[in-house]
Amino acid sequence: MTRSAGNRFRTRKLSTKQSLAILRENQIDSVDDDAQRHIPQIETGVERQEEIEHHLQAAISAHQAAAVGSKESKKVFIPTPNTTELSAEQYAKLYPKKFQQPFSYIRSSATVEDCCGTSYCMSEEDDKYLAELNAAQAKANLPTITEDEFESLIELYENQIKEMQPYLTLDVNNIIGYDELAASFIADMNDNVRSVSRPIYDYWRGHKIVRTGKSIIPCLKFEQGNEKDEGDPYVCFRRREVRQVRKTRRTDAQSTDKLKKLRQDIETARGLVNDVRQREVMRKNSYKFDMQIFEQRRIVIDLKRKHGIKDSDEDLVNKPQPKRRQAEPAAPPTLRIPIRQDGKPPDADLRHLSTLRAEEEKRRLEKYNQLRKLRPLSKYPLLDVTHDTLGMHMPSATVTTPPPTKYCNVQTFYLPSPPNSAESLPSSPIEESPSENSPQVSIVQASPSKTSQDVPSFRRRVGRGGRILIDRRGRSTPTTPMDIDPVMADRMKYDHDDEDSEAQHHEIMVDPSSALQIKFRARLNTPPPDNHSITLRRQVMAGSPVLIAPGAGSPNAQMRLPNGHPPPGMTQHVIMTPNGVPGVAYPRPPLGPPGR
Amino acid sequence: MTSAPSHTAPSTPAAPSAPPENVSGEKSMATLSQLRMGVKLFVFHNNSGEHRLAEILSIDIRKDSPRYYVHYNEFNKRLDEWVTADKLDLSREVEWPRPDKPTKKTEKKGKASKAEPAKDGRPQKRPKVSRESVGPVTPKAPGPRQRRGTIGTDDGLVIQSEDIGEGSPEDMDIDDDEAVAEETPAGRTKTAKADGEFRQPEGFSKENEIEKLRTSGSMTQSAHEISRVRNLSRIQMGKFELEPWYFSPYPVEYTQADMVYICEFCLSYFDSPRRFERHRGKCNLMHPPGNEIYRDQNVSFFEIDGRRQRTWCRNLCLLSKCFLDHKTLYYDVDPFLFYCMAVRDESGYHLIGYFSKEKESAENYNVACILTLPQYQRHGYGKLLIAFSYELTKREAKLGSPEKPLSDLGLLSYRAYWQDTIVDILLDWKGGDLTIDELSNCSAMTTQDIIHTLQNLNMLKYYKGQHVIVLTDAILAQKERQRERQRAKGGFRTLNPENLIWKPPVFSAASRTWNW
Repeated sequence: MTRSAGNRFRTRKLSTKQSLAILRENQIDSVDDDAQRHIPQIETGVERQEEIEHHLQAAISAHQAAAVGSKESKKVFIPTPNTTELSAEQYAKLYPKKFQQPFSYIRSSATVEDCCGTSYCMSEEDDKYLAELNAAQAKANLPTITEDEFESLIELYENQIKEMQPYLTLDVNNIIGYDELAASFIADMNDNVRSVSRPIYDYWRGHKIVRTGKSIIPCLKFEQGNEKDEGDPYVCFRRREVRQVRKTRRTDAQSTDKLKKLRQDIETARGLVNDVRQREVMRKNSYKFDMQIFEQRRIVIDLKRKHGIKDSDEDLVNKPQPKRRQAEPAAPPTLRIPIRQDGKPPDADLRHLSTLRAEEEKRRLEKYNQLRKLRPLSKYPLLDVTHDTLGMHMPSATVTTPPPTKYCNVQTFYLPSPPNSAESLPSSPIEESPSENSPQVSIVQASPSKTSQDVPSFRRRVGRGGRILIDRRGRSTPTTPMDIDPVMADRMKYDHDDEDSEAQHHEIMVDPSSALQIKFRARLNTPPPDNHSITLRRQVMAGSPVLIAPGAGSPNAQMRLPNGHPPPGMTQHVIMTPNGVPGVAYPRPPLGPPGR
Repeated sequence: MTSAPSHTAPSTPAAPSAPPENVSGEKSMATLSQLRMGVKLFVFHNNSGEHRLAEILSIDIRKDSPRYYVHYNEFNKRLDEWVTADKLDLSREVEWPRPDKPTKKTEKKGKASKAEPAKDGRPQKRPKVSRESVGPVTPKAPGPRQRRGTIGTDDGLVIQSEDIGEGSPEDMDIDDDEAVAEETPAGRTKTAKADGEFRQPEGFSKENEIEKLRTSGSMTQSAHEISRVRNLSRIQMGKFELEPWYFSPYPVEYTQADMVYICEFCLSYFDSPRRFERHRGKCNLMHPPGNEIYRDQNVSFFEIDGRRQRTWCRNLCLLSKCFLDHKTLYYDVDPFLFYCMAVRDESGYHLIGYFSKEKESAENYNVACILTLPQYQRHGYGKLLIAFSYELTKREAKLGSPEKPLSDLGLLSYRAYWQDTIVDILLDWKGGDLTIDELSNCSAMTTQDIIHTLQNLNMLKYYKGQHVIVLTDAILAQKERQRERQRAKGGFRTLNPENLIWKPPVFSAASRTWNW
């Protein structure tokens, strides 16, 4: 007792990973049956109601008996209903021995429908009817039909009615008449069949009505979609419900994308097919032309014969077409670089950027010269610097620091104003500008040049990016009233809303040929102001309280001193306009009035 | 010869399996005219030569005398048969069907049927047109005459429901039986009227019948009852004539035929010899319509995709349903592959048996249904089929087991195969100790099946604190006898894996979604 209890305690559950010794019965002496219980009982897999069935139990116990070594090894079978065999002749009649075994394994995908011919098969009743019909036909000296024709005709009716009246079973008396039913295929029938198709229709119709509209040959019952189907044991082979996928926005988007892609793919395919079509059309045309050529040559031959022309007849044969050969190397889409015949490097034919640029430059020059000839500039002592906008090659074009201004140093470029593309205007400064300053070069400043001109002129242009640029000419700088704080004044310099009030400002008359002006102009070539002044200016512009004591030796003070009056130019931003004409961009406020 | 259904509803093995004597209804003497479906009585069984307790499943009149379809207690359904009145032993008490067995059956069938097939089989697209109730039906001899004998809750009444959606007032009084009420809310009274009419002669009150109907859930049973009765009389297939064992949903018209003719190659069915003859003249199929994947001197195997050969596979399923009780044809054949075994001669490849296999089995089943046609049973073909199914599983580098439940014959066949395979491996094993996993890998059998077999053969022992496998003398003797028999027969059929030219088919996600 203790032993078995101890055993039970130690017994481990049987594991599938555990190594088990394979022993013969004589190798073990005693076995503890208790331990067997630790092996899990596994169900037989037969339904429990059936497990208790008499014959199964008998068979199982017989088997068990054999397994434990009982001597009587009588085989116990579960009885099943008997089967009987047909006679060989009967069988051979139905199944002729005509099969030839192929050497290799059979591969086949033909379906039952493919293999069985006409699906309708004649019954005994049909036989009788057909015999009568044929007899009647023969008597009337009309053609008879074969069984196969009869079957295919019935099948035709069946298929046609299925198509035309799918719900015939609901009211079989509504079955459509012969003319309507046969209309679509009567033309395809051979004469024999047509002659009997009407009586056969009546025969078939009778059957159809007996069958209440169902197929004459009984067929399987499939689900009709109503709930009754569920429990009907004759309804079989239902479609499996497709699991409804939960709809989310993401899946929606995914399917949209899929559809788009599909659409694209199909479009591509369509394009390809279209291309193929075009190719074929062209091919066809080319054959047509070939034929025409051939015909024409025949005429030529005739003509030659007629006129007795004897030559090499080269015009009668196709010459090898060099074009095609050229196209051929391009055909393989490999990236191999072809070896050149002339021994140059493979990229010798490639054009370099530098050469391109040089060419471009040359073209430009030519055009420029051409244009120059057209322009009426030659009568003026002007150097056209249109294309040399940065003044790099211009000795007289200056990039300079501005003359000392009263308060701020603004880096200003004085650039020559180009000649007008129209005939020179009377107001153009070029006309009045004294030519003695420089015999050939006249630098026209965009900013004040003419003091004598009272009326300033403006020109409005639309620049790059739609900016509106105002070119200004002949405007003098208003003087700052002395009683206002100069810093404030400077800040308020452009804060005029009213153009008229500005126009009334006192203008400083400057004589460009005066010594002062000359001196000023001479200063244009001085180097740009140092950083300090710029910083200061920034501070001023930012409105920081920088105290500037007049005459305190600050750069500003110094700058003011030499002139004693404001510099001729306003602070302005020079902007290069697309056509190379320097323009002036005002700070925002004064943008108002359009030129002239 | 073995069966495992592909889609059976979970069985409810618990209560109903108890011996009927204890739970059944009252017993009393009865006269022939009182017998009705569900009655249990002693019936003379020819083959065993004795009276056995049997249940009447259907009654029908032939040539003016009634005959009874009886199921013998503790016999398999395939032995159910039609008997004439003289076989019934009315000298003993009969057992009346219990009026109360509704819940289980209702549960089992679930929401299943509320009506059985309209006899005319008219597809009912519009429920309103076909609402008239149809008389009781037994598949053998439908017609008004049979009504005489059918009383009680189990008869095959056809009950058509009113429009459920409209919720007629009659719903109100029947909400005590929800399972049924849900399905046939309004049809009750109508039905009751209908059967009351034929029941009155037997002396039952209408009210009683309504009550019975309500409580016994006979409406859900009616469909079930139909499929309990074998519906085809005889089948001629190829060289053989056989008796079907179980119900099979061939078109209901075929149940009238004395013989259903089945073409051996395309498995099409015909109810008249002339039609069949005509068909044979046209049919040029000579082998199962798929790819041959195995061939040796005896047999060939074909692989057939249910989706591609729908008609053929449906025909095959209809045929095999005649011999497989638990097979269901509820769903279509698309998700299955069919492996068909055939023997060759001058007239073609003759189908011997087959097994179906899910294209993708969630539970690692390597067989769904397996059948050796009855005319070829007891020739060792079943074992060959099973062996082939494991051969495929080996090729797939998987383990497999047949889908449950097994039939009685299936269990015996599988046990025989398992025993054979395991004993062979053990005898050939040279490597000393062996784990069950190793056994499993060698045989492609699941470990559970192996333990089951070892245990069954009494080969698993606990010895000296360890489990051991014992090759008992009895087993060895059995093996020896078997080998002798094989020698006597001149070589036994075995498979040669080298002849299997097959790669496991792969199905894409798309085909899985859309194709079955």
